[in-house]
Amino acid sequence: MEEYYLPIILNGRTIYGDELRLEYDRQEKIRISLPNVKDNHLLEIGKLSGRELHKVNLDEIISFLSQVGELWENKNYHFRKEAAKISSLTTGYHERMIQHSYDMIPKMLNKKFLIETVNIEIGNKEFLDRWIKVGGTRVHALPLGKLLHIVAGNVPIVSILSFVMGILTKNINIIKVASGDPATFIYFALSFEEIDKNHPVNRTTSTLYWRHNADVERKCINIVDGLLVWGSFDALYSIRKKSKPGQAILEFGPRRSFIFVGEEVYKDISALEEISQRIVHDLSLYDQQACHSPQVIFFEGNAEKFCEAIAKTLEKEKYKLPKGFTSIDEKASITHERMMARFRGDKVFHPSTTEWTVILTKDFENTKNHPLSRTLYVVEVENLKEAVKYIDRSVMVVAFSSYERLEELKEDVFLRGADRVTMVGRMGYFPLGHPQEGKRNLSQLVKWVGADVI
Amino acid sequence: MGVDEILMHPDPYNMDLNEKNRLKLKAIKESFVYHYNNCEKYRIFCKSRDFSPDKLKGFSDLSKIPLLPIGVFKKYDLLSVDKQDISIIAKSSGTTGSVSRVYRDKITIDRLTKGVFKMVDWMTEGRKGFVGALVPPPGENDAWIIQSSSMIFPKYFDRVEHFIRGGRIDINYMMKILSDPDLPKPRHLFGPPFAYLMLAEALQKNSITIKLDEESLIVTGGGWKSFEDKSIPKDTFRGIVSRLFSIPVQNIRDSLSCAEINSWITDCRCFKKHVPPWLHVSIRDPENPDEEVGVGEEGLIAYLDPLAHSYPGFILTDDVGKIIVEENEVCECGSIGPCLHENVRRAKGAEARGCALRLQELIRETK
Repeated sequence: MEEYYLPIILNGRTIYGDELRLEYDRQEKIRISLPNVKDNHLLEIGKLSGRELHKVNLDEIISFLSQVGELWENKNYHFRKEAAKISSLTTGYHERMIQHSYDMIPKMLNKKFLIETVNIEIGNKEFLDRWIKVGGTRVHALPLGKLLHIVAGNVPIVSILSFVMGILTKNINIIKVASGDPATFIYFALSFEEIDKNHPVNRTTSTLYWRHNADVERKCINIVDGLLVWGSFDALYSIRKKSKPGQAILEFGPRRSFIFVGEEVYKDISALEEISQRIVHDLSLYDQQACHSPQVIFFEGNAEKFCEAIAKTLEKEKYKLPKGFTSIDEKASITHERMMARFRGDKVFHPSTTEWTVILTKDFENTKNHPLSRTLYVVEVENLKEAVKYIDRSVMVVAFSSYERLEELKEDVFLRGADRVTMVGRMGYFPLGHPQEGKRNLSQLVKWVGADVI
Repeated sequence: MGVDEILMHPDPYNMDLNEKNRLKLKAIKESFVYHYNNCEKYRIFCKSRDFSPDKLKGFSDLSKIPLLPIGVFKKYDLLSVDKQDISIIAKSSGTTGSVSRVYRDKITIDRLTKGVFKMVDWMTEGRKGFVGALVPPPGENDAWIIQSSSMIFPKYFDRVEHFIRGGRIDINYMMKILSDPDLPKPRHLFGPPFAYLMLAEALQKNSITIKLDEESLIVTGGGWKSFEDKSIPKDTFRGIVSRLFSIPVQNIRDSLSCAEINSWITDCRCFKKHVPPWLHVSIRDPENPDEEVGVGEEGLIAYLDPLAHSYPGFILTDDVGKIIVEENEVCECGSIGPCLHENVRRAKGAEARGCALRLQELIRETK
């Protein structure tokens, strides 16, 4: 058994211990030991007023974050290396996938990107630092106070994204890491100390772990002013039930995503190859466990050749973002789905392993028991317009094979409930200014106050 | 019929291994031919897998019989008889939304009853007595485990009572019944493991102790269901229950079945799950279900069930288990193999990972 010890971090102070053990069935058993979160830890966080960052200039916060980003840009940075190794073991993702994900950290923490993000989401970053005259009043954006981030482990950098939302709005942040990926944020937060141990960002960030439904969860919810919850419906419901009236709750997930491919891809063999490559990239990213991962492709016309092209590309490209650990449970789900597809007469494309699967089916109903793990259902439709009816609020991203089709259908797609349309190959990359899950989140993490002009 | 021959055997759990293999092969072969000829959906499926009755010759060909993924019972009506011949539609007690519908005719039910009688004979060593069921009466729940036990137990045991009423364990009623001096002995209990733990909690809270009989069996079945987070290791469970009811640990036995098969696979006193000789169990490679994995290796449990007359009983489940006593071995308890390891678990679906959006969750959201 491989064993790793991770600390928790309390207002920037690192605490080691091994009372809590997480075990993972991989090729070799993995154990992560962490200290328990105790009542006095929460008391310590509870002592913070929630206004500690109010007087800190936003530029100073952004500068600190960008320095952290610079550290993480280096693949050999010791905390990045450690985090990648452990994260790969606990998430089951191939280390190359983790590195690909970590490569986005410096981009996310780039000074210009952060400033633009605040300007877009808040309107003007100055609202966070001073009173700005708006109409007949002066407006200031105050932090909500203390935020608890309950993050999911399926996308490693989600914890960092959630934290960035909290810190850009000058809130006090408690990150409850996911059992699926405890390492990423713990090491990320440890790197704060290497820049400035006494920096207010470090002194107001806590990184904790507790088991689902542990007593400490309720106690922690009681001391915060806002909650950012990422994950399954069960996770969202469970936290919502424990929340207090008046507490801000921002919920993220679970969602799924689709691809629309027009028949014009057959016009040119090189176009078909390029589209296939882009789709395979979207599918492979996070082994289809992310909300932006495509689960179903709607194809206009006869999709058999298209499925063959996807299958060929999946086989050819499998080493670019290699698939991670596949558990017996995942293999069972895939195998059953393949067998069900064969039973109903669908065409199934797959290698001799469960590495990837393409199922060509005529009925959208057949896609609902999705095993993930690089499985694509391709549903044939006569016209892409026909497929719009399958979109609902559960759909996050709809990617198109051509910009013309995107323009043609985007309005209908949004009216059905999707959040974002893009081109294939870009599903996992959210451009600056994109409203995360249909919301301007930063503006919900501040309290807008006004001082009348007399 | 081969299946009747093996079911009528006077001591099926201790029969000669060669005879067992011969009778089992005969029963399954006949069953396959029957379903191939009478279930159109299965025949089409077999043809798509390029398998027909002429290819089923010897025992080693059993692994080539096309398996139906267990999910087909959730989506399709699979029948090898006319619908009017159906007596019972069995429903699974699963936790993840859709329910299996398994159509059973009188022939299937008769075989099932005979098989369970033989299994209970083996397990109780012929001692009948009383069964207290820690499951609701059949009128309160239509899950197959409840329906089948309620259908069969009263025919075998001297008396059966249900201690769960209106969704709660009726402790007062249970105490009244168990302390009746005229109650047939030994007094056995049957129910899902979480019900015993609930009972243990209730008894401890009320400072009640129960002493069952030396030959009493406490049998669990049905798994932990939605109480999975409360599940405890089997030996810990046996320790608690053994102390609670003052019976030897080896009298606490687990059983395994599902709505789609017609047999119960139960623990012997050495806690090995004995596959009845008429049922063929094969452990499949989860990566490639056409291949069997080796003895002691984990995989997906497949059943070839010749007792199924009204539907084809050749099924690949999503249960993960391993064989620990081989087809041609005798268990340390003295009865014949094969045996499964006591730990059998349901494979976790995609809902346990990532942004796997399940239909059931969508439905819940819009309510």
